[in-house]
Amino acid sequence: MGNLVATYRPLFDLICIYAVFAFSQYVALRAGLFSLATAGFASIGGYAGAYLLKETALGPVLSGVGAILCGVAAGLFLSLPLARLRGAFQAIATIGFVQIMVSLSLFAAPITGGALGLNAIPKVASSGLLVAIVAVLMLLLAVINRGGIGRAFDAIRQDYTVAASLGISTNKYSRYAFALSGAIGALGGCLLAFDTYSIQPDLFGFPLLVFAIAAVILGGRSSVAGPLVGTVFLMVLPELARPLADERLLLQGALLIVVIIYWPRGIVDGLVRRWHDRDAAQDPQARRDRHGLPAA
Amino acid sequence: MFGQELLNGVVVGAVYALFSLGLTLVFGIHRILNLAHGAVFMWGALIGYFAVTGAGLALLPAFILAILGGALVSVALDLLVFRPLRRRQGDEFGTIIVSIGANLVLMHLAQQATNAQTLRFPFGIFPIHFYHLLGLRVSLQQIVIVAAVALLVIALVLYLFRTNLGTDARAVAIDERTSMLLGINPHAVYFGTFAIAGALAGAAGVILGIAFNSVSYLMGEPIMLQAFVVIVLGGLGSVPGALLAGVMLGVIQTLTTVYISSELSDAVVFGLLFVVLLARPRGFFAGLHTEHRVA
Amino acid sequence: MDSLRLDRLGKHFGGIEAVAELSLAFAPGRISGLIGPNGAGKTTVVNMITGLIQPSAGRITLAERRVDGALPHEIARMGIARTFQNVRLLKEATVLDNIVVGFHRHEHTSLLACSLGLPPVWRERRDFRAQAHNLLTRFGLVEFAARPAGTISFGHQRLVEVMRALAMSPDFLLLDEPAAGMNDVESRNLGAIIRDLAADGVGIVLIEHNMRFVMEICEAIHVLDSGRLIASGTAETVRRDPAVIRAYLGG
Repeated sequence: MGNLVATYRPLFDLICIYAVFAFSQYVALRAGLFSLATAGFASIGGYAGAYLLKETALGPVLSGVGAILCGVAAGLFLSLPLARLRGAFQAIATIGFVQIMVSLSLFAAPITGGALGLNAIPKVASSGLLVAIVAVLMLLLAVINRGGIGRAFDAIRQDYTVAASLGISTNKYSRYAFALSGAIGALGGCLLAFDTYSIQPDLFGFPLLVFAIAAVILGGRSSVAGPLVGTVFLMVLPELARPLADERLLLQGALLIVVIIYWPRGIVDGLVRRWHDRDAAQDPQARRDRHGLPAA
Repeated sequence: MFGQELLNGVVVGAVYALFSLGLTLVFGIHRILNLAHGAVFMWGALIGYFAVTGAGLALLPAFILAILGGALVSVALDLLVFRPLRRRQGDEFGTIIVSIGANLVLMHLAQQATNAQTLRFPFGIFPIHFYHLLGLRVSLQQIVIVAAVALLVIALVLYLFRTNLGTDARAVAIDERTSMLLGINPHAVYFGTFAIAGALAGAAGVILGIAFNSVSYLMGEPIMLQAFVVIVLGGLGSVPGALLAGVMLGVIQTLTTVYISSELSDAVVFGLLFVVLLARPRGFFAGLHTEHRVA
Repeated sequence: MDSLRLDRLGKHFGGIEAVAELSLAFAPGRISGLIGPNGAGKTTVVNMITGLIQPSAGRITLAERRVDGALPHEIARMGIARTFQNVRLLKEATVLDNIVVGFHRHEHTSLLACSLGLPPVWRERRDFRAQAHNLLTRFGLVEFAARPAGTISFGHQRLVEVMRALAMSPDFLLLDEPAAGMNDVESRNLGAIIRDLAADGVGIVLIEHNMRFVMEICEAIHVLDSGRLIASGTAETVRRDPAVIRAYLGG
């Protein structure tokens, strides 16, 4: 039993960390942004956190906060042109951003260690901490979804012209979403650095971009549980079927195509929808009770 | 020296333009941002390579084969990926996501086909010959590249503005539903635009593969970044814009590499993208679409 | 008083003049109709007032405040609400949630409070939901509250859109063909609702095709043809105006 824990602990930690990346992507999609910048934010957070922890006396907590602030700054920077542009422009610029972060981290060797990356980073993250962070993050996102920000996100995502006609500033909420996605992405990168002793530029490249988007699409873009379920699925499946491990990118690519075409809601939202449909088939009064509406 | 660098930049830029034309054309007409366009380019280069080394073809037939191959891959993408999505009312976001997926699948297949190796054309596949023009050293290769790009672009323009299919494509670009009422078959138009875009990308793939004598399953990614800048600079959906911006970017990039630093040329390119988005998101040439402003 | 004024408003798309030299004033508490044949420029006028399109010439003011040049959400916050010609609801959301979104203008919690889920956020949420519920009751659609908006009938969707606009408590409400696709009973109900709103002081601008509907409820009617104002007045005077007859019968 102890053996089993020792074997699967690293995988468990990675699931938690990659779920954080998926949440960064989730925030962007929820707000109606076509942003694929999560991997770039993760890179900034990873290097900033590792650098601060190793080279300064700030300690783990403040280094983490510093990393998150860097992510917020990067998100706000991207939002300067992108909050008022839509669709294809956002996808283009954020993919470019991810690629540029990879080449910058190769170029800025004095800070990032170039292709070798940063090594011998103290391990300051524990499995317990990671679980706690994922739980707090989910709670936070659930709260945001139910309040005014979530309403504004929903409106902007579904029809931004309508949103504007109701007085919702698409600019303001897009900026907020970029900043939040940046903060969460940077947090994930920082946790990766704090948990795995070393980071290199290729951790934060196109494969991470694909992972984050695939996890959210697969798990579901609406409910908070979606990204977590998607992450677990994508991380555990290759462990169960070993041959799949080498074909990770092929698997994710094929999944993206098939899920978007045939099951666009993803796992969690698809199940929720099915439950609602059954709910609607029940008698009207039971439905009213469940939704807390007064009797007709 | 400056003139020489300028010339080199124009040649590289011509290939960027060739590649970006297909990307901007498909976006302008169908509102599809095809992120697998780089993979089509890469497959063009691969087909060219295998035609030369495997089938022992001469360069010209191999080039033509690569163009056809690029068109085929591109059309297959539309039929197998974008069309099923259209049928299920997928939105712009969905098309971007499936094109990322298709890119991965195509890259993976290429990785298998090449054993993840970088391939090189046999030495001397292209005659090395230099001319002296206006005090510049111009290689035969450069002349052939520019001539090939010019020919393909002229063919594209003739197609777009002279043929029925061309007018149909422009009608579909303006309004798909109305054009259907006019008896235009949108499937034929999708087929046409994807075939052309793929052919141009395939051609660009072979040209760049020979020019740098390097073909690998990863070669589609860097050129996508360049093409992003090109199509934004030229205005998303604008054909003349992509042409001019392609050449411009080739020049800017070459000069950056020579006079500043080769490692920073990516950063300069992205900086340019950022500045254009900030200052003039519609590009310097109007695209085919105008949208309501909101913010 | 606080009217919504268009002053020599113009818009051209390329070489085509969609609207030209249009001067109008809409008063609060009054029902004004904007009618005209297809392509007369009615929707262009609405899009200019709500900021989706920038006018090429002229100015728009609300109570002496400049409207043109402001962004769409700023104009909405000045108190100008609208509905769309081809109903635009958030189809994934429930009917109730669609209306709740309309209360955005009355939201006072900061982004920070909202992110942390402080108590005012939940108070506001409860409050908006209760008010949305009241609107649904008033319009007789309360039984559809929990249904996804895309699944109710087209006429009901139009009403939900009107409720969503009303949630903003606007000073002016621009209705773009609200009776299109409604049967006689539905459009008569809608007429009654619109009269109620005007009685509460909301200025109504009604863009309509359905002449009978306009003639019945509008106090002032403005007729556009090819982007120009060709007649203004009560239903009676407009109906007899030779220019109007020519425009509609095609001359």
